[in-house]
Amino acid sequence: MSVRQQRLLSGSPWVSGVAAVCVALLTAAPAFSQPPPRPRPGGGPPRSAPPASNAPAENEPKKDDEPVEPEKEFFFAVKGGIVHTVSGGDLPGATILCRNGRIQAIGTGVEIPKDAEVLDATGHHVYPGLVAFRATGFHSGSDPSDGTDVYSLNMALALAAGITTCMSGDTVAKLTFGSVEDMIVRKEPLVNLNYSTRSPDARRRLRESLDKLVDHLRKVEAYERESATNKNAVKPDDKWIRGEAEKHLKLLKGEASAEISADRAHDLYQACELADRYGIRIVVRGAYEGWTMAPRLARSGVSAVVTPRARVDLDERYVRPTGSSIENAAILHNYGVRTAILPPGLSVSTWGVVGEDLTHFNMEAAFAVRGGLPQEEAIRGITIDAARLLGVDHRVGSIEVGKDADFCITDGDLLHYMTLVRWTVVNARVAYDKQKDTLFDHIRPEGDRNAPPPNDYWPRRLGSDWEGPPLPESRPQTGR
Amino acid sequence: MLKRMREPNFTVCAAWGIAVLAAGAAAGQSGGDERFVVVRAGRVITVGGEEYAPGMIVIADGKVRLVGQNLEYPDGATVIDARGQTVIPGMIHVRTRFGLPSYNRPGVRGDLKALDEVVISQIEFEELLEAGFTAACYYPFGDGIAGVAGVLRTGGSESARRVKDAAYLRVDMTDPASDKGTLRNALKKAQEEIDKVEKARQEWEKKQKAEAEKKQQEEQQKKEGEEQKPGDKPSPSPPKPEEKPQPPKPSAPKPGDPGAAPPVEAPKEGDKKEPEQFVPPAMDPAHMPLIDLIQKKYDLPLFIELDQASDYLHAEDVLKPHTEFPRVYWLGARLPNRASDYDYVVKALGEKKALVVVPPAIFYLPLTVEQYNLAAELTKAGCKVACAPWWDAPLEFDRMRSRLADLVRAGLSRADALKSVTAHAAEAAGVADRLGTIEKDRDADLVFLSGDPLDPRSEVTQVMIGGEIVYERKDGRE
Repeated sequence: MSVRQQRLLSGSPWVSGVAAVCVALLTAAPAFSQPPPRPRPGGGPPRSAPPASNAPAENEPKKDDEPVEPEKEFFFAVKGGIVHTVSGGDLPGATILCRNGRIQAIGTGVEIPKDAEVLDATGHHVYPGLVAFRATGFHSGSDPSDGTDVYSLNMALALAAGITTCMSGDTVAKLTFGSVEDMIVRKEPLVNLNYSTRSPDARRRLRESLDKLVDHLRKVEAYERESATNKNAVKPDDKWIRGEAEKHLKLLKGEASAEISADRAHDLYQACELADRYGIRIVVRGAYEGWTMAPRLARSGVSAVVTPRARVDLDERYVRPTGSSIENAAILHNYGVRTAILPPGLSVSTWGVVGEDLTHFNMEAAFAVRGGLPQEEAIRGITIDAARLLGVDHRVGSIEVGKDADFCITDGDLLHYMTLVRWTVVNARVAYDKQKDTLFDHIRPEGDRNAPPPNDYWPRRLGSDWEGPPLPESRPQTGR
Repeated sequence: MLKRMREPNFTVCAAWGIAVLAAGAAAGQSGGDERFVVVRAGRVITVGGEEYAPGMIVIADGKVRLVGQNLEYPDGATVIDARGQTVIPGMIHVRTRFGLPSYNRPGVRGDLKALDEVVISQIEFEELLEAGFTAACYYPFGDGIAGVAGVLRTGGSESARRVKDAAYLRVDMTDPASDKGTLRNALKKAQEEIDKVEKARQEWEKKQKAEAEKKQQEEQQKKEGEEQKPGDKPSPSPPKPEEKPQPPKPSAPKPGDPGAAPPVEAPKEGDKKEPEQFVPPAMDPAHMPLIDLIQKKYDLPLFIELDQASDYLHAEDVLKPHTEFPRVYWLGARLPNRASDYDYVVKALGEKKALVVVPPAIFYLPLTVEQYNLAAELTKAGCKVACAPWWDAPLEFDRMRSRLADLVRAGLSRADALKSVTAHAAEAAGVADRLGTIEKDRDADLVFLSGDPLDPRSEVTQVMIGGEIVYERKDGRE
């Protein structure tokens, strides 16, 4: 029943086992040249072609989430840096030209228009903006574009960590520092399910709800078939589909993924069975025992969001392997489970235990490398794979023609502990500039790792040309 | 000591005539029954124009007639001798609820006026007068769009107290998570109200047209009938005219019927057979100020209250389709440590040459010890800056001038500091045509100080409102 139903219900060609193939296909599709622009459905000016990806989009992009094209076109270019496209290899010295916030061309021979704003990233590494699968404290309000303080310290700190997109609440939103425009990327891409062995009753209720909806969808299909010939066919009642049921229907239709917090193997098995039975896409968060049953997760097409640094002792009551492993991400990847990486803390802070939150997002990926995950794959775990699990990979997560101009430009390898973010670009606007912000401007201001700190490194938020309020003339000017 | 003396025959009659000719001609009144008051001051700071030391102000019927030196004035004028004092225009408190209770009132309440809450006898205006405020703009309390503020004089005769009933529409944007939606929905509702009236008008016109056509048809048929009647043969002809008028009858009301939803039209039809004038359906009074703005009646500006720089972007985001709306910003700060991040939006405000109201305080940039003179930076960027006491307490009113002195010490120019509580404040409260400067035809609302207005030692000795002294310091020193 399961496979037939999957094809019947999900509507998406994304079925179990395809995950690994998708990964392979996507990697092989770089975008060096610029295809001719296609007319946009809204009647607006054409924008560049979509990413040259052969893999089917996991979650279909919604049209109403597309940003509105500004009336006046503006160009932004990043030149001279080592471009790590993530999806198409590395391009040393390539220029990225962006038009109206979207990448228009990538390559060494790209001509930059005269009125373009140019960011010279010579000697720096250009990565796509990092994507946090889940974060707190950057956006606020039920609609982030309405309630967010876009000048908050938290947002500046997250940008200083290279993060440009994150899932806040039930919305995927960007960290548009100093702007409230083009903030929302996608609303409600995930449905949170409580499907743990600890609450059998909740599991039963969920299955009942899904069964009822499957039954409903069959009736709808039958009605559609019948209504072609019989005008008196009665449309099945759908007024009862409200609240939870509505969300579950989105899962069955493939319009959203299910997010399940599951750490231990038996919970992960339950998630796999749910995916097999109803053909829904499932993302498990935690999954520290995923390494013990990676083939099963891969077979059911379940994706995982892992924390490579998680430490959980083995449980001696079981005769199977238990507990966490630093190799978790590597093993999951080897078996073809799409894996995103998330640190233990989901916010940013300037206090507490250093390195356990999103302020050190890249370090979490580095831990996965320590556990055997290839470096490129670790970077994918905090960029394109996270975007894919959130269903926003058509806009963010890699440097491709047609995608959003979100970059994280660093002064070294992204996963190196010495590396600091030099610029963060969101929607083709420099949202963070290390030398202009007060956070890290005094650390290696010239980019030289061996240089001592400058004498006057007092953070000057208003730039070096601002001299503060004038002193009264009666007092001797002693300087500040 | 202060002396108010009548000086008989101080000037000759010819001079009296010249003064009346010079000043009275513009006012368009004969000088016969006017009440003249003359202020002779050690110094007159007009704020709008130049300073006179010594200076003279000739006031007629509560309005300033002449400002300058060595002016001539009529014989029977009351002369106020304040030769040791400085006279400035009365200060204006742009944003106050002094003496009014606070309560929470969310939603859109554009029909409410703050002045309706004010019971003049119950408020100790003496406190404001003592500090040199001659007018106060009372704002309505509450989240969202709380209502319309109004300007009151702090003294004088009760009949002349109300300067302006509708000064500005207060829009709260201190919590954009909810306030942004409130404003957006209010604008949407206002547009819907306009559309509703427009739709009703179109239907009315359609109906009028249909009725006119019907009448014409009937007349034509009558004519045809009359023409046919004499043509004999009565049997086949009568059914024809009967049948013809019948089809138009049901069809004629049809265009009116489906859209006749506005309930106003139904009773209208019952009362009068055919109203010649279109009576628009009633609009929601709570949204009326916004409806007026959308219809390009810019009498009532928006007074947008902010808490931090981000709120400004949110406000601008909602008002993006309405860039032409007149607006005033209140740059408040919630944080007790006087940290404020408005430096992010100073440039944007300056480019718009915005009218902003700020607390008279030197802020700190967040997480730094950098002091930031917001008023000075805004002025430098190109804004018109008004200052309002940070909170409504007599002590804070008294401190106002010394706080301004602090701003001047930290870089704000002296002229801008004085304007911020007078001319610019009057503009923010929408009363710049009457208050805020000592100029011809402005209200004679003056404050007499024992010294320079920005000198913390100087005190308010007298306050004049509408040409009459309404406050005199009891223990005033020379």
